This record gives sequence, structure tokens and C-alpha cells, in this order.
Amino acid sequence: MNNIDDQKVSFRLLVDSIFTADQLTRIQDDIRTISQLAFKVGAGSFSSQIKNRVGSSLYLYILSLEKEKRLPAAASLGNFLSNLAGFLDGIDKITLTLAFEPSVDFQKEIVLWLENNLGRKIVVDFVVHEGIIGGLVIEYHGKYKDYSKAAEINLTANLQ
Amino acid sequence: MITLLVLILVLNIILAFLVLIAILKIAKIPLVKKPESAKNTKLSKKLEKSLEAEIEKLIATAGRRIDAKLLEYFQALVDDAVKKGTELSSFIEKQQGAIVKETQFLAARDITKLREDLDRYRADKFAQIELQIKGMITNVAKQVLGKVIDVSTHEELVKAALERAKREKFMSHE
Repeated sequence: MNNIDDQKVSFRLLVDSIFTADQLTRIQDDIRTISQLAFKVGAGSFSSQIKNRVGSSLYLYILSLEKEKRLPAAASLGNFLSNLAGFLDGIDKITLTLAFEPSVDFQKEIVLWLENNLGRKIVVDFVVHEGIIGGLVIEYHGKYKDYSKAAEINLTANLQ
Repeated sequence: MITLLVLILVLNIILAFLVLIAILKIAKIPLVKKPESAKNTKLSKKLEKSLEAEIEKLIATAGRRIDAKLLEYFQALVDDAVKKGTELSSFIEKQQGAIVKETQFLAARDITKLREDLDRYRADKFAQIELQIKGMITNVAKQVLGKVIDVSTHEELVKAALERAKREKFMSHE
């Protein structure tokens, strides 16, 4: 899998399963860990070596590449992981502050909505703060906007 | 006034002295008494009596004139004092009137200022109370709303907020 476009298609298999900033951070940490193992290929497959060292997302991704025989050879594995890390670094991140603990389904729904509307891969850092009452607060590319009910109530109180 | 009295007295004495000299000249009596003969002694005593009487008359006349002048002068002083007293009384009345008016003005001004201060104080207090009430209502509203909102409503509020952010193009690339 030397072709860069092929690599990106492959990366998306992994990226599609990521929707929160925490997941992304964990996978980035895992990639740093297995990057050191890539040059010490010993007995057994690469996936078997990393199985107990990384999270399930990256393990299953590597395993699927092995099964499909798309995982690069040991010599170019380091380069492949480096490209993967770079690809993950380029993913847009949005911080959303909510007044409640969102379910996983709702988190996915929100991320999908954002990706559909922004037209690119997005990961969300969900922060819970009951003080905002309802709605949300958005932080994106250094900008901040308060769409919370607390802000509305404060605004109403100040206008009266 | 004392100077005037002394002056009048001196003038009268000089006048009396001049009259005495004139009488002595007319009667051919030397000013310095020479030793007289027994023949002239009687005449001399007669003249002396006559002279004393004249002098007394002159002194009495001068005294009356001085008294009259003094009376006139004192009357003028009294009249002047009365006049000045009347003027002073009028001045005092005017001053009293001015003081009363000024006091009334100052008192009225103090009352107006006091009213203004009270109004301002009342307005400030009301504003503070209003602010406190607003803060209490806001806090209560937040607490009540925070507890009342269920998960599905929370989710709807989040979606609505995202739609609003989309309309405002908040997340569009710069």
C-alpha cells in the first residue's frame, strides 16, 4: 500500500470510528507506542504483538489491514504509521460544553451532524457543565460562542 | 468739643482784659499802682468798685453768650444724634430684613438639597434592591430549569443551538 490515496482510504477506516477528542488522543498515543515496536518485528504478526499494548480501535484496524494483506512490510511500517499520525493530527476539533452527560449515540449524532454541515472530518471534545442549564457553548479554532440557556436568562435579566 | 469750650473761654478772658485796659486808660489810672497820697485813696477805691462791677457785668454777658452757644451746640449734637439714631435704626431694620430674607433663602435651599439627596438615596436603594431581586430570580430560574429539563429536551436544546450556530456561520472556515 504505497499509494498515498490508498493509504488515505485505509486511514479513513480507522478515522470513521473516531468521533470524540478523547478517542483521537488515545489512538495517537497508541500510534506512538507501536511506532517503537514496528522496527522490532519478531515472531508472530504485528497485530499479535500490539494486541495487549493498544486500544481495540487501533488493534482491529491493524488486524483488518493484515487480513486484507494491506499492511505495509516491516521496512515501510514506520513510514506508514508516521503518515497515519500526521493524518490524525489534521483532524478538526470542536469543544462543545453541554449541561448534561450525552449518551454515546447522541455524541455520534452530533459529530455526524457537524461533519455533514462542515463537510469534513470532525472530532468533538464533550465537556459537561450543569451551570449552563441547557443548550451548548462552542469553542472552535480559538473562537467562543455561548448558546446556553444560562446566557439567555442572564441576557433577559439584564434587559429588564 | 472741649477744644471749642477752651477757645471760647480764652477769647472771653482776652476780651475782658482789653476792656479793663480801656477803662483804665479812660480814667487815667496807671496800670502799675504808684504810691498814692491819702487824697487819692478814696477815689481809687471807688474806681476799683466800679471796675469790678463792669468786669462782672462783662463776664456775666460773656458767660450767657457762652451758655447760649453751648446750648446751641449741644442742641445740634442732640439733633444730629437723633438724626443718626433714626438713620441707624432704619439701617438696622434694613439689615434685619436682608438677614431674614437670606436665612429664608438658605433654609429653602437646604430643604431642596435635602429633598434631592433623599430622592437620590431612595433611587439608589431601589436600584440595588432591583438588582438583588433580579439576581435571585435569575439564580432560581437557573436552578429550577436545570432540574426540570429532561435528557430529550437537553438534546433538543443542543440541536437547536447547533442550528443557530450554523445560521450564524459560526463554524464556517475563515
